[in-house]
Amino acid sequence: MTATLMGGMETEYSVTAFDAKGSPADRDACIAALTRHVARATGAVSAGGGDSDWFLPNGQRLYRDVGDHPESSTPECTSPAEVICYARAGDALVADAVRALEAQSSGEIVVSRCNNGYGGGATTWGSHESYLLSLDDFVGRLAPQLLAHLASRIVITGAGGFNNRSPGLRFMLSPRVAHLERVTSGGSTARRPMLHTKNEPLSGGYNRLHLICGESLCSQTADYLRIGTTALVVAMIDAGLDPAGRFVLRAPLAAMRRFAASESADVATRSGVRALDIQRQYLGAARANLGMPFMPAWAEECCERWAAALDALEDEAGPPLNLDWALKLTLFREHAARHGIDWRHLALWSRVLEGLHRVWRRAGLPRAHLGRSEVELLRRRGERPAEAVGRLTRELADEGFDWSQLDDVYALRAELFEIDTRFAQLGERGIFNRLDADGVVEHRVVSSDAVRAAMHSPPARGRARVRGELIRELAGNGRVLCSWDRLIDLSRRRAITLDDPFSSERPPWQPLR
Amino acid sequence: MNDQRERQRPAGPDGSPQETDAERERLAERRERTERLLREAGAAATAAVLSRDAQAFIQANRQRGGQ
Repeated sequence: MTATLMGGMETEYSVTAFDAKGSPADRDACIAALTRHVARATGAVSAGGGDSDWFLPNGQRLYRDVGDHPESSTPECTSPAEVICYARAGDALVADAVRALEAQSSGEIVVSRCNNGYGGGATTWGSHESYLLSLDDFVGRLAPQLLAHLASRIVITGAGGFNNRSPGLRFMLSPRVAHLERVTSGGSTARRPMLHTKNEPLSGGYNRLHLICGESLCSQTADYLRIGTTALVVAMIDAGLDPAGRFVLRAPLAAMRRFAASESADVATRSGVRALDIQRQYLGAARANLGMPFMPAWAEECCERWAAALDALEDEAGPPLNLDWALKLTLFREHAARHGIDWRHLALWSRVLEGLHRVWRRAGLPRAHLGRSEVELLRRRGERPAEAVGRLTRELADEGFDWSQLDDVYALRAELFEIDTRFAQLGERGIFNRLDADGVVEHRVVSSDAVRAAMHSPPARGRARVRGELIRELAGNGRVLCSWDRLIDLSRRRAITLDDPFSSERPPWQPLR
Repeated sequence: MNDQRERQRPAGPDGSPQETDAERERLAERRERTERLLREAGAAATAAVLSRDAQAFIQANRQRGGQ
């Protein structure tokens, strides 16, 4: 058990590139150029994965991950604010590279932390979290106490967006949940779980909990609470406590899906357990243990922020406008209204479009965009498809709509998807960043100065500091290899092992065998 | 939280002090103002970045995804 958070965050970026004429450009070349640019600009050393895998002098890693997207990992941090600082520093380094490459090419590069791909294929990106703990029984001991937190925290930490598995427009507090298929599993690209059971034992009797159910967020407040509240819950479980109290859920994934499919934080499981009440239970447990040796120094501040968020979510006036999902929902509704489409009617259109796709599949027709001509085709396809289309037509007519409005709905759908992608776009063109620059969102936990410093300096404590200092010293030497726990100087045939994540002391070089 | 009146307020089930009517009113006004600003700034921000062809944009964004 540890009183200090030693953890971090990974951010998966989507990349879309356009040439000067606005046509799609080579994404692979763009990703390689982006990572190379960051490496050169910072003085990074190789992590052994060719020219797309680097450790930077601030201790973090930037690499091309499974799925061919760039990914940034923060160094090991000791507080949620520090995690946010280094996550935003990683974003800023990539945004600087985008700016430089765009200046050279006259094209446009859109790097986004949007968690959803809307171009087909039900694509998802995430933001993984790492927490250090002593406990190694993830399924038997950790899961029962942690799962209710992971399910319910999305009322605060949901990114907001649309279910990209639906042909309609289904808003979700947390669209990532549409891609979770298991309560626990070791899979990460298939059978994605709420609780990832991959464990990486570290020295000193520590284990690494790796969570992959979380989403990239723009709001620093939401991100702080994602890391901070989860670290506190993990610390309490690691200390042998049962912070879930009476909220050990029998069907945690079903609960999470219900919470995620909501447009409000006032949502409950089928048996009536409110997400907010679960969060209050965990907050109460954390407050009751403030000052205990296993609780970190920042626990009280975190509990205050946690309580403020829950209070604001209970407010009848509406959700707090410093959480990603609440911000997006406001923008989406407003944009739909500008299209002349009432947000409430999108649920009807979603039902109808989902029904239309079902009829299409049952008729044995190949996957296609279903427009008005496809509706007509189904009407002529035989008795059963015609009847089903007739029912959908009546459903629309009951609310004063007909198929002639289908093109408008599709146009709105595409624009809302682009807004979601552009909301989390890195750099000054990103919608969230524009709102932030306008001073509209009160979300900051760390200052811009702190983020700028973190772009080039490692954390003050732990092995990340040693790693960062060594990288700075050895930068320019083309024969250095770095990993999370080892740095190899090939030119002088020596290595340093950083197996204690808490140690800020530089161990002696050892000859390379 | 250092205000004496704050400490005297009854605590909720998680230990949080309960809000007073005046606080609720102040928060509601603040929220209304923030929401208006967000709608205005959001409309300007989305108008500035939306592509002429949003469908083409999201198609170009088709990727394999992450873990």
